[in-house]
Amino acid sequence: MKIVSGFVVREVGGKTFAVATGALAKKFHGMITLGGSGKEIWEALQEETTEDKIVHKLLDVYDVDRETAANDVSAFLAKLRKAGLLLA
Amino acid sequence: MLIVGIAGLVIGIEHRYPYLGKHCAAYETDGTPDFSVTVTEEMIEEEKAKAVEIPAGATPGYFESLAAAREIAHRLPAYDAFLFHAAVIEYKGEAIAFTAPSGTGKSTHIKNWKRAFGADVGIVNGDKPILRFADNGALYAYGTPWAGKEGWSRNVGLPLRAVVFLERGKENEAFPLSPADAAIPLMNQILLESDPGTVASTLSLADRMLGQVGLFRLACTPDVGSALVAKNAIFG
Repeated sequence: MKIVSGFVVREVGGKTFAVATGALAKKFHGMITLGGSGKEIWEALQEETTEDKIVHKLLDVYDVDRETAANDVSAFLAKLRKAGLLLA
Repeated sequence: MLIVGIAGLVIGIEHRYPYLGKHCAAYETDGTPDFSVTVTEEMIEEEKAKAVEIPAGATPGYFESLAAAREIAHRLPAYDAFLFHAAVIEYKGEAIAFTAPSGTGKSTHIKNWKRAFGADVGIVNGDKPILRFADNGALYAYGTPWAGKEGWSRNVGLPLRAVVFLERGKENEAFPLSPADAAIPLMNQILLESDPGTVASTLSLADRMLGQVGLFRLACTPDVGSALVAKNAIFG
């Protein structure tokens, strides 16, 4: 899986935002705030990856147990999928 | 081609209906445009489709004017400027921007500033001012012809002192905001539907702005005391 193309990510006021641009902005209105593990998950989704690989990445970066990381990733991916922002 | 001077920029507008010329009369100028925009029938139709409320007697010219504002807004980030959905007043030579979702009471609040402080207060713009960074880094708020229902518009630019996020309240209370607290409400009031480069520039400008102007949340009632509370928060 991978995130659709067309997002621009920038820090504004110390918060990280992903904003849809170009053709994507016509389909997806609004912006996504990336906090905590959201940033790492987003980064991982820039190229083709799997849910399992993303969980491993979080376990490398954060001092969390596998279940917490898996839940974080699963919840985040579910939101993206619901909004139609994940490819495959 | 209509040529207007807005926010220190000379802008050419190719258009077809007479409304726009009248609407921009106070901003008309001559000279070589820094950039030009062309409004098409398709853009006018898109503007109609996007309108949340359509004022009585709205003509194609009215929507053409909105489309022109949008086209201009897309070009501004290249000049360190962006369109901000807010009402801006002058207080003793400085600008204060009030922003809130439509219908919150920006106009009422500004009338209260007028009542409380009289000649110290002037209008800059009622709806779509342009914010632009000067070469020395200072941020200025400029009037534009796109000024909302009241038509509050003055062709001036003043240093922006503060941005106030308005909401309705039972009491009048003002709180300073951190850039992080202000970021989300700010993002909702700037135009971000554009190409990646323009959006990235707009976000960088918004970030700069949050770092250098006063930021406040104001819960306010419709009465004149709201202006006193706001003024004390901003100016101490």
